Amino acid sequence: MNTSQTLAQHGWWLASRASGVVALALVTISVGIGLAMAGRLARKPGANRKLVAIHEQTALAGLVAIAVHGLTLLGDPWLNPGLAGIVVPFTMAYKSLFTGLGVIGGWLAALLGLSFYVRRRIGPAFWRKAHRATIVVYVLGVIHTLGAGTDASSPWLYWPIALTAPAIGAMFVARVSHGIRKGRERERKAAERRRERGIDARAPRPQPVLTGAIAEESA
Amino acid sequence: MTRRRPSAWPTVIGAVALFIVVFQLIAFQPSAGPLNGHVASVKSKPAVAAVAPQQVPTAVVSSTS
Repeated sequence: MNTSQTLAQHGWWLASRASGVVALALVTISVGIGLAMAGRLARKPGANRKLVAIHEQTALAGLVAIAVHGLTLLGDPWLNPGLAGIVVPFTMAYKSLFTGLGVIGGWLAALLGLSFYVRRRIGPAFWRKAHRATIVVYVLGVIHTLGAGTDASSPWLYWPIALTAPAIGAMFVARVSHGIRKGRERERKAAERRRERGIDARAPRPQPVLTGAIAEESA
Repeated sequence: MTRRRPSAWPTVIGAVALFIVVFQLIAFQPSAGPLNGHVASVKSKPAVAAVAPQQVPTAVVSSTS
């Protein structure tokens, strides 16, 4: 089979595979930067502002790549997933568990990624809590790639995943333990403040010292 | 003075470049290859399997009788 025949017959499928790899790369970068920022790894002044911009850009580009990954699959005559196969989890006949997890990951990426733009409406505190679940998108992406990806066993894809996954995992563990420490510290300080206020409330109020004419009047 | 927001172009160009590189890699490298066992595996489970018609054994009639 020559090159033009290959492209004519498998063009959509090749595009889907390539965009899937791009999507995973972008999600990995975005999640990695997010965890690095949360862990205060960037200490250079002004670096955080740049990282926020790259974090947002890679997340949006990742969403586009996920959409391309699904839409190009519609043109593949062999897999032929149909619209339901790419939007409804576990309905595709091909490796339904792993493709289903990929579909869930895609929807979750869209939901969590785009919620940034309505964070004031849904409440910044709720958005921040929900945003922490973005790691699930990365985990689902990796499982989907390794389970359903045609190139999962190829060294050019396998090794980048194998090398970045432990780094992402370590940063996530550091982030969670940092959050737990911070939470305990906050609780300790709040308890201290409560205790101090409690002591103040029980203590007798200092009497104002009256001097001169006012003291004589009150006497 | 307002700070300029970093441009999104490096991200866009990087993503497109990665797409082109991966596309080339899987389409033209024999080690990766466009088929890579995938199309073959999908093709191997067709909806209607081609089954060869069963041969009916014919009785061997002895001519010695």
